[in-house]
Amino acid sequence: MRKTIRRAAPEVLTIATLLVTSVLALVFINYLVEPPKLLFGRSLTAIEPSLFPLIVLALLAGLCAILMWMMRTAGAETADSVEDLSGEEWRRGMAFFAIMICYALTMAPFGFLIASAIAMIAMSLLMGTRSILQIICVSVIGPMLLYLAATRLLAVALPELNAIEVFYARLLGE
Amino acid sequence: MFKASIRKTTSLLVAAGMALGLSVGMAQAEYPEKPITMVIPLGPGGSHDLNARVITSVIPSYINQAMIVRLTPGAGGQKGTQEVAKAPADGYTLLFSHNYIDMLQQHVEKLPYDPMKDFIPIARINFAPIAVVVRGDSPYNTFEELIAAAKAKPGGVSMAHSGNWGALFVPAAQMMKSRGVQFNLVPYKGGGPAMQALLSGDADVTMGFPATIGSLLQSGKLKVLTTSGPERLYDGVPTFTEAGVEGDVGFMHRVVLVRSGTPADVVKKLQDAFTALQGDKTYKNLLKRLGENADLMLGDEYQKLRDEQSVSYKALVEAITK
Amino acid sequence: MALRVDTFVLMSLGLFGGMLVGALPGFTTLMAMAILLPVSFFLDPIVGIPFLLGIYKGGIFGGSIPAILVSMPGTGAAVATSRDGYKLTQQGKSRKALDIALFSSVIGDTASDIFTILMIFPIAFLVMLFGPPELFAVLLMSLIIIAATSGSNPLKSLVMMMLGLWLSFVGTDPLGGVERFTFGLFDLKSGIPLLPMLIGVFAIPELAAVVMRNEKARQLSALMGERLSRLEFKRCFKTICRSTVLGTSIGIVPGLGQVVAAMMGYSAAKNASSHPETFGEGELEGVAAAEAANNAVNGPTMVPLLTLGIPGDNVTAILLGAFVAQGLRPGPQLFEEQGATVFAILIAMVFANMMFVVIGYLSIPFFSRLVTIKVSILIPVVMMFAFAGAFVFRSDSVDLIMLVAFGLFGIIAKYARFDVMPMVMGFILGPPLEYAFGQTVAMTNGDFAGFFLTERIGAMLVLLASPLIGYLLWKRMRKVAPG
Repeated sequence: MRKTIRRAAPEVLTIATLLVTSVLALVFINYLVEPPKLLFGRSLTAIEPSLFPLIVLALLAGLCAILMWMMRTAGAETADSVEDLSGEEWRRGMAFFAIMICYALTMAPFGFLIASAIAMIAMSLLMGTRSILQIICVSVIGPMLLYLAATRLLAVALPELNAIEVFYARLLGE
Repeated sequence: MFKASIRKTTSLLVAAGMALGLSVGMAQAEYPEKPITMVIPLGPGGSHDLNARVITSVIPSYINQAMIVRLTPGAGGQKGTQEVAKAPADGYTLLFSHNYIDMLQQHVEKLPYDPMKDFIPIARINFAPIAVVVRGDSPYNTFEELIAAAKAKPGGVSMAHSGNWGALFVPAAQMMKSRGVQFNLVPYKGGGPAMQALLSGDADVTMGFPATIGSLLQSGKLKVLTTSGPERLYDGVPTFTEAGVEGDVGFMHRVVLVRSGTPADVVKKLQDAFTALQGDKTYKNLLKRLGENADLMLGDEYQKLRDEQSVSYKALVEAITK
Repeated sequence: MALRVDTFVLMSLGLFGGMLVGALPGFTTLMAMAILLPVSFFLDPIVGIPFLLGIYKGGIFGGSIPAILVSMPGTGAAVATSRDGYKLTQQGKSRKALDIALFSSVIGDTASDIFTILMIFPIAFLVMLFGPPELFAVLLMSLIIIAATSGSNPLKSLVMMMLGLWLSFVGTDPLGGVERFTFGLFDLKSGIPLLPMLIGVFAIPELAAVVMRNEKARQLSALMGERLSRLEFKRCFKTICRSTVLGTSIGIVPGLGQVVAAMMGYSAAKNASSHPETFGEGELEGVAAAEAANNAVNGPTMVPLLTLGIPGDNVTAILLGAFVAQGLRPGPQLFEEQGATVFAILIAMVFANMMFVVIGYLSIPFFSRLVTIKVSILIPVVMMFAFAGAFVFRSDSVDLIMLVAFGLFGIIAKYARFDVMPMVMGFILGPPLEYAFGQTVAMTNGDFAGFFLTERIGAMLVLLASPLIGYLLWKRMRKVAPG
């Protein structure tokens, strides 16, 4: 019995969180949704901007409440589904997200090449690569090729430092 | 072994860094020394995108650098505009916008930038007038009949437009203000769907650019009631001025802007390049094929128009959003 | 006018290039078409326009490649494909998955093109019958069907769908331009971007699973698997036909598009199947259903463009540019004045499909070899593509944070056994649903009941029938798959 409750936890927690946030959003809807703008003294739009959010939030809160109630009575339907993560897996998962967060935060200030190289070197090490040559090839040449393909062939921009952009331009003899 | 390879890597990186530094050192060359980015605050596939593709495919031969398009749609054009406002004022980030995003939005919403203070125009690339149209079998044959019908039954005439404060909405609002009538404004996702709504009978009146409605006019599926500007575009069809709709509202000006504070020689270079485009056969040809004119107006001259737009849009917004 | 050799050469180039670009998530075929539009100006009409069409068709299939191989759908239309496609890759059947995706795309597309060519004027008439009220009714029905057929527990699917709808409200209200749920943050003003959500909830959890389990010893040769057998194709054929009919019908309704078609095709196939429990677990029919349906949309969407000169979406807007530039002005007189050229172009569309079978079939072995790359190389590279793709969608580094956040959410949802697909569908279909409803109310001008009863009986019937359809589908799913 104790075991089932513990294992159903992620599901119950998610539903509870959704229930609480949707009820809170319903209560504070007037602060979260601006009033409609006016045109010639009438509302600019035919329906209130808060109409759809109200319907959806009410349905969400109601559905979550029903689900919570059903799970209390019927027990945990997914008791056997969640496999436990080992400590090692937890650590690797954390490392993966740490790398991704760093990547996301560094791409604008450091530019695409440097941010990608750092993140990809870290990922390669996490995946157990020990060959320096392979790491360099993948994490430096890879982003360079993608950057050039994106900017020169597809003509869309990726963030890049001025110096590196000038370097590319020289490299291609532009 | 591992240590040795780390040392090798570091020296490689240092070498690469030096090479980079060197190239930067040499790079005190003149503008532009790297590709220029043109930010479009609108989505892909629209008329701005297509116009920009024409520009970027021809202009490299005049600036000796590539020009890259960056589409940044969102928040009615504010997202892309703000991005350029935040970029350094070095002439490497241009904004390709239009007059309603540029000058009207500031009066409707609180913006995270000040369009007058933060931007200066490089050039107006071209402009498109607009025509008010009804179905061929519509009971309204003249603009006055339409106004009379709207007066008789406020909100009874439905006008399909392409989004709030967009290219069709503003002229409609100005009409409603100038003539004291009330249309039932129904939004559509762009001018195409609005035209379709007119043809299928969902809407009574809409607007379109002459470049895009030619075929429908010829086949008699549409009738033109009035066109924007002071000059007549069609025989026997009155202009906005004649119809009593004033202000620079019926034109979509496509305009290239940069951050204010951009060095004067950079601005000059860009303006020279856009002026040179005027003499380029391919460029003119391509624009003509898109159905656009190539009526270039340089920055200073357009700035005067901008000042006027700001004043008249402010008056318009204040008069109707009460 | 006879079709020429250079038509075929450039069309193949377009097909191949479009496929490559489409295979990069975030770099849409739309971008490729917009960039190459000026090139088409200099070509002959019956060369230049098939070239652009080739890019478009190649690109749609290209989008299903990362969806199948690394669970990274680059568009909403590829979401349904990635569900069973990636499971097949994990089972070592990526070649089969790509093969069936190719064949069903081409069959769906060809059939809908031929239907369009034959029925262009009746379709043009039909298109005019659909306005915002009908669009609203059909969108609502689609959402109900998706919720009823997606998971084992429709309540949980509905919860996720509501969450998706809620997320779609964040930003600027599509009708009135007021801010909703932005907390005054400018970054949220333009809403939550689709691509970081797609990559976040579908690709990141799969990447994380590989990283966490530290999978190194994947059997390389086994992963590609064999090609599709004739028997398997035969098994899927009925599904392909059903999806083609569905997709073509959906293409006639302006504003619905590929996302709805793919989902409806998938739901219908699952519902009609005698073993719906295999859907979502690596069912070839699932890939076939989604791909045939989303490609079958293409034919009818060309109709308003050709007969009225009105582009319904961005792709047709670019094609309009190409037509106009060639001196072919789409509209009522196009068929009288330039009928021969137009039919040559339409027939070139059908030929493009035929050629794509060859080009795609020959390319698939190279693509499916991608998954046999060493995991220690593949994972960093896939991560780079995920980030670059999420960025170029809107050129905003805030989107990268959203990508990671959605990745985390995707993992939580996986452990809590919530299906993220209804959420994504709610997110994609929420704005058009609200928009169509707002338009409808504006059109009624106050008299809601009168409007529906006198002018829009069709839309009203669809609205009234949707809950019933949803209930019946749900009941059937329960009966076929007990528990």
